[in-house]
This record gives sequence, C-alpha cells and structure tokens, in this order.
Amino acid sequence: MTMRDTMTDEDIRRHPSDAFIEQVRARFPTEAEVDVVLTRKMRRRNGPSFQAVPLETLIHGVERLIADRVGYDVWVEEARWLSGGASKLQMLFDLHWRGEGGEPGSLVMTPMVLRMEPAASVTESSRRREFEVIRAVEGTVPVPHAYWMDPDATFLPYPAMIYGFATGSAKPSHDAGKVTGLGQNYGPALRAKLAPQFIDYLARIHNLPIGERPVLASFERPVVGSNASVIRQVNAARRIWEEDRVEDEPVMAVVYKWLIRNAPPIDHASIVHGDYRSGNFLFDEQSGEITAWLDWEGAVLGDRHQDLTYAALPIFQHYAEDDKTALVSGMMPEAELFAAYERASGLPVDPKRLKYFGVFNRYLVSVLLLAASARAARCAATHQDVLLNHVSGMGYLALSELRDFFRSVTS
Amino acid sequence: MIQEFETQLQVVQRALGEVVLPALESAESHVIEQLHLSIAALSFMQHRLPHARRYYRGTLQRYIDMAVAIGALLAGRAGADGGGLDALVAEGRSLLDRACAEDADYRRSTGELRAKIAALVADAQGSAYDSALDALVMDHSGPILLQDRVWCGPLGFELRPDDLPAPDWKPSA
Repeated sequence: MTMRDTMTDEDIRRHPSDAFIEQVRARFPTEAEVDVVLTRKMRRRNGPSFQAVPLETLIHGVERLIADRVGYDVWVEEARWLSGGASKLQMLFDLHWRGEGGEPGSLVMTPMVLRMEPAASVTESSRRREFEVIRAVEGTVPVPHAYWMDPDATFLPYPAMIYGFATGSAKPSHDAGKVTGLGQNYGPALRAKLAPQFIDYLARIHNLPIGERPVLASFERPVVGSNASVIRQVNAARRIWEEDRVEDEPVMAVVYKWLIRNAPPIDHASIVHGDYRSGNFLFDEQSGEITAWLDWEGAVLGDRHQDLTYAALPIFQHYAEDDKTALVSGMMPEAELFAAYERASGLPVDPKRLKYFGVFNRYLVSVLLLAASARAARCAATHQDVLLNHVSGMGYLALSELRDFFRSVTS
Repeated sequence: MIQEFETQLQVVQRALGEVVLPALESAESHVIEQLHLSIAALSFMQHRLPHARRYYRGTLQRYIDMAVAIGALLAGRAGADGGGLDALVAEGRSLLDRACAEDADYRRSTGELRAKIAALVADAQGSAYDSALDALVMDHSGPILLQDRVWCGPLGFELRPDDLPAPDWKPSA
C-alpha cells in the first residue's frame, strides 16, 4: 500500500499532488485563462497560509506598479481598507499623478481602489479578465474606470487591478446589517427606482457587441449554434468541485451528468456578468440612481439566460410587504423580471434555456458555497475566513434548492 | 468537572458582544463584521454541540438507507456493480451498534458512503439503470438535505425557517 492509498479525500485536496492537479485539469477542460487561474490556486495550496498584508506593502506595490505603467513617479496618500465583498482585498487610496493627460508639470489627485486577490477565494478568478470586461462595458453601463492591472503579481503580493473609486452604497441604510446581496431589501420606494435600471443595464450588457480581439482577449468566443462554451463553463464549475470539496455529494454527481447532456447551443453570444444581482451595484440612496456595477470577476461570454436566472436565485430573494410575493434580487417577481427584460432587450427569453441555466446557476452556487468557500476557510487562505466559513453554511440551502429545482425541471 | 462547554461558549459570547463590540464602535466596518461573524460561529456551536452525536448518527443512518436502496436497484442487473457498497453499509451499521464509536467514525463512514454513491452515479452514465439510479438518489437526498438545512438554521439564512421539518436527528430502529 502506498502513502497515496492511505490519504483521505481531505488530504488529497488539502495538499494536492502534481498528479492530482493534472488529472483534474485533464478531466474537466475549460477556457485557457480559467485553467491558468484554477491551476495557480491549486499550486498555492501547498504554500503557506494567507498572511495579513500591511497597508504599507500595498502602498509601495501600487506606487511601483503605476510608475511602471505611466513612466514617472507617483505617490499614494490616505490609504485605508475598503470593506464589502467576500472575495477580494480592497484598498482605497488617493493617487497623486499627472492625470489621464499625463502632461509634465500637472498634478492631479484621483481616488482609486486596489483590488487584490488573497491566496484563495470564494470565486477564484482572473484579474486580467475582470480588467478586460470592465474596459469593454465602460460607456454602456456605469462602472469604475479600470486603470491598470498586475495580473501576474509582479508588483503586488497577489494578482491585482486598480480602478477608479465609485461613489454610492451597496446596501440601503435601513438594512445595512446583511451580508451584501443576500436577501437584500431595498424597501418599496427605492425598489421602484432601482428595478427599471436593473433591467435596463442587463439588457444593455447583453446587447453589447463582443467585438474582435484584442477586446476581451482572455475570453474564448462562443460559437452560435454550438454548446461547447456552455460545456466549458459546466466543466469549470465541476473542476472547482473536484478541487475544493470537503466531502462528496451524490446530488452533485446526478446534476453534472444532466448539465453535460442537456447543454443548449448558444443562440446569441453576449457578455454575461456572471454575478448580476442585488448587492453587486452601488446606488445613490437619495436619487435612487445606480452609480456603478461591480464584481465583474465571474464574467463570461455566453448565454444571457445565465444572468437572468442568476439574478432570480432564491438566495437573493426576499418577500415583499405582503409577505407572499417573492422579489428576485429585491426587485420584482420573477415572471415580471423576465418579461421586462424581454421588452428592454428585444432578445427572446426561452423557457427551456431558463430551466437549464436555473439548474446551472444553482449547481454553481452549491459549488462555490460547499466547496470553494469551505475550502478557502479551512486552508486559512483569505482575509475573510470567518465570513467564508459563515456563508458555507448556506450551502445546504443551496443544494436542497438545487435538488428541488432539478426535480421540477426533469419530472 | 464544572468547566462545561456550554458555559465556555456563553461567557465568551457575552464578553465579545457586550464588552468588546461596544468598545470597537469606531473601528473599520470589516472589523465589526468579523466580530459579529465570530460571535455567530460561537452561537452556532452553542446551539448544535449538544446534538452533534445524534445528528451524525442520523445522517449516517440515512445514507445507509440510500445505499441499501441502491443495492436493491443494482441487484441482478447485468453489468451493475456496487463496488463495495455492501461492505460500507455493513461497516456503517456496525458503527451505529457500537456505543463506543466516536463522532469522527460516523462522519468518516458517512463520507465514504457519499463518495461511493457519487462514484456509482458517475459510472452509471449510459447504463440501463442510469436514470433509475439518479431518481433514487434524488428521492433519498430530499429529506437528508432538509435536515442539513435545519442543522444550519441558527446561521440565519432561511427565508422561512418555520416551513422546515422538525429536527430528526435520531437513527431509525
């Protein structure tokens, strides 16, 4: 008997061998950049646990990164941690530089945000892709301007990007205690202002032409009429499950087979935000205006129904004031959301694809909660272990909901 | 011994919630959030620690039931192989019969059953019993997952916790 034979499921994933990493890569082929990111995560796992990074380290790294990109010295002041979100370290700072024009002699102060990944994350993702997609949608939807990136951690301890500071709140002041986006209740007055924008921006994103490389260079293009890109996404989720899970779940095995067998061909290739929901946009509480869409790290090129069904997931719902009507992403009933989207986008909403991506998103969320979140917390791999451990407790709600939804779709 | 777990968890939560938290009012919001979540984790333990053994035993029993049903489904089918499922069922039953079995033994045995069943589901792809096995797994998983949700109830994620079934963390006879 070899040492490998005596290793438990937990040992294999806590200290992955090169052979295990390569085996999983081969079994679940996905997009090249996604493969790079997931492989890097697995190799890091054999390294040290995440160590808190002092602000001074980040300030120094940011100054060197920006100086390298603009070609002259800059300096950072008023650096402080920015809270919010469960996955990335964020530092807010004032950058003193020459501004966008770069004229020698000019001096401008611009508030910016450093967004850096920890050693592991609930959503292991590519800063390169996040940067590219924010650049691609700027001007179509409100987003903070993406300035620079350090995708290979040349200047900072981990891969990072720098974007402009966007004003606004993620949560209404009357419901500020929630983990952002989970059952977020905006209240009737704010909801009435936010809901039409919520629909309109989604329609705009999905209608935006993807364009040719070098735009969105790290994304593989889906082919209309083919389901290959959908299968790559299912495989990416399954790969995370294989790499991160704490224990196996028979339900996940059943659903994976179905997702592969029933993957629909793409009928229109869209930019898909991937995490389009309550809590992932900032708004002005007085005017009710959405000021920025955030968290583009899960973006893919694919099927619009993925975003539609994600926004409608039960974990982002709450009941309206009548205590009967479920409001998806705190906005409106599901059927109203789909109908309003169809009118706004001019793109058809296909009930069959809604069912497929309803299953897919529930599967993905179960992976992220029961595998990625739980694993990152166990490996002491983030600055938010206690938060990731907490949200992993939602995994059984997600898995139970996946099982029930799957039964309703396949019966 | 008066140093009971219940007391330890109670006093730490009071200290953190009533002394430390108010003193951190001006701290950055992520610091406050992590303290709230730490208190929530301790509260979860306080609620569930006394029931852990029965919960683990109950979960093991339910996966044994699932495995037995799978064994019956596969019996006599050409090409069907339980791949050692029977042995895992026997081991699980033996553990439930042994008063001195540790909670960790129940969890390990449950984990092995889950992994074996998941592997059988994957291997059944394209077989004559593929869909029947999937349906059986989904049938048995429903009540298991509801009990898992009840277990996680103190974390506060359920929209309507009153709609969940009553806790049932005892093995069937």
